[in-house]
Amino acid sequence: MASATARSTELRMFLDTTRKFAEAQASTTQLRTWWREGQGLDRPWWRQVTELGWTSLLVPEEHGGGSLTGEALLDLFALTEILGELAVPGPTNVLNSVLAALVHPKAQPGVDVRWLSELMAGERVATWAHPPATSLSAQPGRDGLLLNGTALAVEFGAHADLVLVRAATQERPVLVLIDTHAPGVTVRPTQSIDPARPFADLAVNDGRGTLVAQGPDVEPIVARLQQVLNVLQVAETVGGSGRVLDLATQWAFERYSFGRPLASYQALKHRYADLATHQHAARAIALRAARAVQDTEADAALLVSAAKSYVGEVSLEIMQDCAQLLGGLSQTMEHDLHLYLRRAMLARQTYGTPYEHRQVVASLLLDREAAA
Amino acid sequence: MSENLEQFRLRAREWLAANLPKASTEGEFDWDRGRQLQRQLYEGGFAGLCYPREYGGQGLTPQHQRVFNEEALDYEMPVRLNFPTLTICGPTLLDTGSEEQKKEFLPAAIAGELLFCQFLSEPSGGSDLAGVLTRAERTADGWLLNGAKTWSSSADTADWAMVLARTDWDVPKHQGLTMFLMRIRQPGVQVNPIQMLNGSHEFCEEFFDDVRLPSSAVLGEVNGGWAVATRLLYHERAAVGGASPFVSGVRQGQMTRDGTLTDLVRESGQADSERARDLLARSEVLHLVHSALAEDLTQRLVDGELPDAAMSYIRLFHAEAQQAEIDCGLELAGPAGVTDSGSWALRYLGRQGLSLGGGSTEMARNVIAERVLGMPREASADKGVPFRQVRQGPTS
Ligand SMILES: Cc1cc2nc3c(=O)[nH]c(=O)nc-3n(C[C@H](O)[C@H](O)[C@H](O)COP(=O)(O)OP(=O)(O)OC[C@H]3O[C@@H](n4cnc5c(N)ncnc54)[C@H](O)[C@@H]3O)c2cc1C
Repeated sequence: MASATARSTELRMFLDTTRKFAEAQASTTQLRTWWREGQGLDRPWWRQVTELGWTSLLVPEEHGGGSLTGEALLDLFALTEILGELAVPGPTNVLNSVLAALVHPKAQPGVDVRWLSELMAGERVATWAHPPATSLSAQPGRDGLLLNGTALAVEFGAHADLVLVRAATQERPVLVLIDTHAPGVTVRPTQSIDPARPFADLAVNDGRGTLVAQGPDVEPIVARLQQVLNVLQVAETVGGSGRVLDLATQWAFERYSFGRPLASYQALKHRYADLATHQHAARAIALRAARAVQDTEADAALLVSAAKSYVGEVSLEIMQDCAQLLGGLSQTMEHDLHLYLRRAMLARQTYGTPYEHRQVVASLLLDREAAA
Repeated sequence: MSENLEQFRLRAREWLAANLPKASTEGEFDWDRGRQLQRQLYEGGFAGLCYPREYGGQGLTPQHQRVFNEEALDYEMPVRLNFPTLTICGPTLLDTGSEEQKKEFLPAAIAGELLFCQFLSEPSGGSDLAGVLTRAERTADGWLLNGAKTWSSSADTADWAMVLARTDWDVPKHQGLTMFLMRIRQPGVQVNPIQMLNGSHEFCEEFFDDVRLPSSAVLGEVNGGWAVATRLLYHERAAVGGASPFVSGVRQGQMTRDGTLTDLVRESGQADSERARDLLARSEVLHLVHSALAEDLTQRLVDGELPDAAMSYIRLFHAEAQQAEIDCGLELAGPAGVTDSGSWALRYLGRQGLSLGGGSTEMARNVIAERVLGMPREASADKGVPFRQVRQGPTS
C-alpha cells in the first residue's frame, strides 16, 4: 500500500482533475443550457464523467473500483464538496449510494457483478426510492420478483434504468432492483425546483425486479445506503453554501455605497462573521458525520442526523442572507445564487427534513439513555 | 516503552475507580475541596496532561486529555480550576514566561496549590482591553501599582493574578502596556466580591493602592504587555469556546457540568412529547456541531490552514449553542421553571454572560471580519495617538 503522503497526493491530483473538468465541462453556463433544453441528464456527458472516477470510489478493487486513500467515503466527500461548489449536475450522490448498497457484504452474492461495471461506466444509471414515499409489494414470479405499487419523488427517476426499492412480500422485507424498461413500470416526471436534478413518480404494475437482499439483511443495507446518501448530500450542500458565501464576500469588497466598500460597515461585517462561522460549523459537522460513517462509529447515525438537520437549515439561512447582502442582483435568473439555492432547497426537503432528523436525534438520545 | 491511548485509558479508568468518588453533576463548588482533588490528580499523574513534564505536567497529547475526560465524566472533578488557571493563565505562562517563572508557577498551578485569576477589565471598559488605565510606575527595586479592575472571575479564591497595566503613557496604547504577575493577598490590594444578577458570586472588583511589585513580576517584556495579552486572549477564546486542549474533567466542548436538557425532558415527564423532543434535539444538534467545529478548527490551526484569529469562530459558536440550550431549557421547564426555583431560570438570568465573559461576541465578530476575512478595520480615534491624549468617557 502506498504511503499516506503518496495516497494524499493521489487524492489531491484527483480533486484537481475534477475541478478542472467541472470548470470546463460543467460550468454554470452549461448548466443553464441543460435547463433551457429541459435536459436532466446528458448521457454522453455522464459517460465522460464516469471515466474520471466519480462513480468508482465506494466499489472495492476486486469489482473494478477503489479508493485513493483507503478511506473511500472521505475521498468521495472531498469530491462531492467540489461538485457542490461548482453546482455540477448529475446523479453522483444517489448513484454512489446505490453502489454502496450493492457492494454491502449482506447483499446477495452475484447481484453486484451483474450491474456494477455498467453502473460505474455510465452505461446504466441507478437510483433509490426513499422508503417513506414508497409503497410496494412483491411476489415471487416466473423469473424473479413481481412488484406492485408506487414509488414517489424518485431522484432521477425518469433517467434511471434501475431503481433500488424496499418492498415487502407477505413474509418479509426485500430490497429489489426494478428494471424501469421492463413492462409494467410507468414513469411520470415531476416538476423539480432544480431542473438539473429531476424527480419522477413511478407506478409499478407487475414490474420485474431482481432481489438484492431479504429479511434481516435489508435494514443494515438500507441504513448504510441512507447514511452514505445523507453524507454526500451534506457534502454537496456545504460546498454550495461555501461558494455562495465566497461570492457574497467578494461582493462586499467590490461594491461601494456612500463612498466606501460594503465590507467597511460594521453592521455588515458582523453578519459576514456570523455567516462564516456557520459555514465552518456546517462543514465541520458534515465532515464529522462522514468520518463516523467511514469508521462505522457507534454514533454514526446520531452524527448523520445531526449533520442533515443542521446543514439543511443553516445552508438555506446562509444563502438567503447572502441574497440580502448581494442586493437586487441576487433576485435575478442571471446571478448564479439561485442555482445553489434550488439545490439546497431540494437537499433540505428530501431524505428527511431537519425536523424529521431531529426526531431521530431525540430518539437516539432518549433510547440510549434509557438503555444505559 | 510508550503507552498507547487505549492503555492510557485503562490506566486512567483504574486509577479513577480506586481514588475518586463518583459524582456526575456539579453542586456548589467548594474551592478547598477542588484544590485537594487537583492535588490527588497531580499525585496520580493525571493533572496537567498537556503541559510539559519539566513544568509539572505529563507531556501528553490532546487525545490523551480527551480520553481522560471521557473516563472522568462520572467522577467528582475540580472543574472550576480549569478557568482561568489551567486553560488560560497556565498556557499563557508557558508561551511567554521566563524559565524561572515557569518553574515557579506551573508545577504549583498544576498541583492545585496556586490558583490564578485575570485582572484585565476595568470600570472604564473591557472590550478595549489595550485602553486600560491602571498604572504601574518604576521604583528603585520594582513597580508601584495603582488603579482598579473589575469582573475578575474567582478573584476572591485565587492566589495570584495576571494584571495588565499601563507603564508608558506617551506612546500609542498598545505600546505602553506591561503584564504583571501579582500575589493577590498583599498590602494595598482590596478585593470586593460582586453579586451576580442570579445571586451567585462569580466575579469581583479590585482596588490597588500603591501595591509594590518586584522586577521579577513582569511577564514578558516591559511595554511588551500586548504581546502577552494577545496570547492570553487566544487561550481564552479557545477555553471559552470549549476548544482548549488543557481543559480537564468536563465533557468535550463544555466548561461546566450543569444538568442536561435530556435530564430535564425525562424528569419533567416529557419524553413522549414530539415538541419536547424537537427542542431537546435542536440543542443537542448544536452541541454536536460545536464539538465537530472545535475539533476541526483546532486541527486546522495546528496545520497552519487558518490564522490564530480563527479561534474566534469557536468563541462565537459556543455562545450561540449554549444560549440555545438555555432557551430550550426555559421553554421545556414551563411555568414551574420560574415559579419553583428552577435552575434553568437561574441560568437564563445569566444568559448574556456567555456572550460577554471572555471577550464579547461583538469583539469576536470584529476579529473574524477584520483578521480572518480581511475586511477594513473599524475607524478608531486612538490610532497612533499617545495614550495620554486619548479621550476617555465621563464614567472613566
Ligand atoms: C461571567 C463573566 C466573567 C468575566 N471574567 C472576567 C475575568 O476573569 N477577568 C476580566 O478581566 N474580565 C472578566 N469579565 C469581563 C469581560 O471580559 C467584559 O465584560 C467584556 O470584555 C466586555 O467588556 P465590558 O463589559 O466593559 O463592555 P464594554 O466594553 O463597555 O462593551 C459594551 C457593549 O458594547 C459592545 N462593544 C464595545 N466596543 C465595541 C466595538 N468596537 N464594536 C462593536 N461592539 C462593541 C460590547 O460587545 C458590549 O456588547 C467577565 C465577564 C463576565 C460576564
